[in-house]
Amino acid sequence: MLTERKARSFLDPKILARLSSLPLIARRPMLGQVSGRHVSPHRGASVEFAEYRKYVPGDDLRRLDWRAFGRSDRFYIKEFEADTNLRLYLIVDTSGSMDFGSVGCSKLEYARRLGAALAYLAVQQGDSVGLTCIADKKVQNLPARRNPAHLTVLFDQMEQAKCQGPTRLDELLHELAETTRQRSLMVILSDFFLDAEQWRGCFEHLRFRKHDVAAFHLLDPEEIDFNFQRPTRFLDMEGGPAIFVEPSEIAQRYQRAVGEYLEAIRRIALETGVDYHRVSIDRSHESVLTDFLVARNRGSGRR
Amino acid sequence: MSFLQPWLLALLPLLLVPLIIHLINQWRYQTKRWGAMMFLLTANRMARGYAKLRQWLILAARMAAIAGLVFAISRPLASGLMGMAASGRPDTSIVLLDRSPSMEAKSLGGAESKLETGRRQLRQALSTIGSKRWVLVDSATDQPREFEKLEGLLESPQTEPFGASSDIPGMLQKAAAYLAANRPGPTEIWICSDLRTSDWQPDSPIWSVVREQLLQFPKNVRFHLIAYPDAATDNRSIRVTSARRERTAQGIDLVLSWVVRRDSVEGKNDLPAIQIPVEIEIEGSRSQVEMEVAGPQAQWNEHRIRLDGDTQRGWGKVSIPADANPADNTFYFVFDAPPPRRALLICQDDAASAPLALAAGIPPQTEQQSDAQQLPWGDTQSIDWQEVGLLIWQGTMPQGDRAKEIERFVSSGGSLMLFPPTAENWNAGNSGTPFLGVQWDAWKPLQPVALIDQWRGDSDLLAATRSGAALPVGQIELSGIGTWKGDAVALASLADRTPVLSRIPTDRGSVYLCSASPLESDSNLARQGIVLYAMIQRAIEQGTLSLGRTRGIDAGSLATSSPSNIDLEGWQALGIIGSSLSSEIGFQPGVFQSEKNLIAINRSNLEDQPDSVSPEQIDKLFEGLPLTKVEQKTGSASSLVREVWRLFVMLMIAALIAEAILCMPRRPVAKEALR
Repeated sequence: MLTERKARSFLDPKILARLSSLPLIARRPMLGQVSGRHVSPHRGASVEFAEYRKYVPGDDLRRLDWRAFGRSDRFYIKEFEADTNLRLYLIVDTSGSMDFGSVGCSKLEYARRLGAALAYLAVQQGDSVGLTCIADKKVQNLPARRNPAHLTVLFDQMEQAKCQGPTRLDELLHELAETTRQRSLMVILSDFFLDAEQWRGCFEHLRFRKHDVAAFHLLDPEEIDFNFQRPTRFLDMEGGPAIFVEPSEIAQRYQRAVGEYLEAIRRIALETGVDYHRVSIDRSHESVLTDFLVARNRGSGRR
Repeated sequence: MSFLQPWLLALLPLLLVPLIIHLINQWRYQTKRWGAMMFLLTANRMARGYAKLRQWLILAARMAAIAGLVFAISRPLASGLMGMAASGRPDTSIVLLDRSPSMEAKSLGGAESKLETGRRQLRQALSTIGSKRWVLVDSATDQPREFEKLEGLLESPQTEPFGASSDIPGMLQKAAAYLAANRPGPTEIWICSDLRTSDWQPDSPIWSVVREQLLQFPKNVRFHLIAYPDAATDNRSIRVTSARRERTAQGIDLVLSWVVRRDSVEGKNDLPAIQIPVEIEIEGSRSQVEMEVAGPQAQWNEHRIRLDGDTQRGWGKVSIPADANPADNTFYFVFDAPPPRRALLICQDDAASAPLALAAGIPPQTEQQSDAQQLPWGDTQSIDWQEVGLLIWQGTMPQGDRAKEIERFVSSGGSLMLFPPTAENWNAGNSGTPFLGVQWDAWKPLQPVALIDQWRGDSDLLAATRSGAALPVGQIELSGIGTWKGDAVALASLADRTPVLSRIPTDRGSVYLCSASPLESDSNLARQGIVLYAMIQRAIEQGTLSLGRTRGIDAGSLATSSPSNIDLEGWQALGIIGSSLSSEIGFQPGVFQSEKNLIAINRSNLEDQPDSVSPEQIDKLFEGLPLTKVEQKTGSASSLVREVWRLFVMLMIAALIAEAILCMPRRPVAKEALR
């Protein structure tokens, strides 16, 4: 599938091969350009019966249900579900804080792994994939396409993404919700380091646009545990003021604040119907993706 | 607060160690690039109040723990004597122990006397503080004695009670002399006393000398006064005022007079009357009389006890039941047949000698022997002074060696009566020589004759008779009188206050100055006779007392350098209270006997007076000297000085526990739940 054999640090062919057996399923009807494996909001020509409706002049007589006419002396048109492909939009937060990583890789690198794998899986099953990298004042946007060559461009852009500046993901999510065509699968890869309530509006906006939203909340174990011993001067990676703290004094409150924040995010995701996944980046991204895909498969078939 | 190891307080800067460690810890911070700043900011906002306080509390607890440790190893002392041992362990500790009889008083229901309490508290305090050298100023000899150990000092016989008053200024003077001779390092002088005036003698001129001596020492001499000024509750004391042997028609009687005093309770003078059994013991045979004591003092006069056979002399004691102070419940006395009454007359005018010899030669009682010997004018060489009771000197004042001999006679207890020269001898040339501070001035004729207008009828030579009748002093007519210059107390005087009979003050013995001449031409002293006879006989009686072979003396007075000093070595102790150390004979109450003499030693009269030196007086006596005073109750179980390092160890432990509690991490947040 790859047109070039260029080695990517965030791509592992073995993992991709293992994940290939799991389809990427949308949780709600998608609007695609071509036929695909996803449920469409429109009636189509698939083999799966959808409903009857009254004949109106101009309807294709081939879809007239003669048996029903024979039984009821009325004309009914037999409709079938349409199958379509989906547009997967990978939204990667490239703010300064995404550069943090204490386990050998940064959160951005982890986001690359997840995003690249998902892009590969989507293209593999005929879906189109787009990419949006959001930094401070810079938005790199790659429209969704489904040809395999597009993956190379996507991977290149993903590889070139640099972390910088404060998080402005919330503002750009609103923008994306409006500018992106409805009924897309939006996968957000971010550490969501903003006030939890700010995300509620973003998620609701995306839902309002009938997007299927999945959020990977990337967290470094050190950010959760806060296991520092010596007094530390913390430099804000997003350009804010530095803080000098005695970790032993503050650890407990820090952990409480983290706990409250994570709980708030989880609650908001639940309330807004976001497929929320909290990911500690010391965990294998394969297992994270496996859980993600399997969970989506379990919920497939619903219309 | 004072410390036994004050130099260890130099470790106090270690208090800053936690602070320094804290600051070093702050300085060696690490820098970390961090993404999740929003949580840090939130946590930092939450931590501002209590966490800051907690941080400072931890720091304070650590500093308190170090302070507790440093203070504990510095061995702090707690006591009423704050700052008592601020200079640390002294080089020399000098103990001045008041062991006068009043120090044997006990508190109500207490089993410990003031002296015992003082010794116990001194033992506790001094053993805590420690010292390189221990010195006790012996209150008997006033000599400092060095001891190797404190136990040796406080258990030595020189700290046991004795019967004499203590001479605190004298002891301090000896202590000052010791300091001057030995020049020790830091010295502490401990004075343990009940502040009785008799012991402190605040009016003594020695005090100013002692203070001057002590002020010359550097500031490393400190004084600690442990006072027990609380008065004994309902204490009684007995004192024999006179004990004489008297021959009557029925036999020989011992005539005793005594006085019982009661200490008022908290200043109340309206004491209820009580019956006190007074036990009289005469050489082993005892008798008892019930005596009613109403008020603070009661006197029993002329109690007669029939003596066996032809008892010439003997001794005994009177005692009352035990009370708060056992030291003043017994009083010894001795008695003897009166010695021959012997008077010597040395007269310038033979005419004047006749009436004087007549008045001196007739004994007042038939069984007494009385002898009046007339010597030529100026002849004192042939006199055996040991047998003379009264010397009558008529004429110009004695001078030269003769005057010195007569002064020695007076100071040994003899009586001297000085009569003026006759009018013809006034201008002989010697009338103006002073003797004992007095000198004849001039002969003053009186026209018309003058009568004695005022005289002292309550005591001394012109006192009323035993039956209470006054002497007919007012009948004395004077046609001339010798005036004098000097210091003397008038016993009788004319209307114009010209003294007729005066007493010259002396330490011992009696010196009377009679300004009236016994000549018929100058007065009717000889013709009237009664007054002259009474005067001379009473003077003989006073002088004869010093001739007696029995004497009652105050404990400790033998040590003074009086001419009557008696060396009691070789004397037999007949009855004695307290220590019988040979060095303390003369200081313990009791009776001593030699071949011919009997001596009764008792506490001094001042010991029965409850007067105390006021704190203001103490401050004045120690003005300029570093004095620490503490008043203690008799029998008080408290210690003067107590080590309190345990308190600081507990403080340290408490600080460490507090620090541990403050540092204890809160219930950890389940981190796995956050993942």
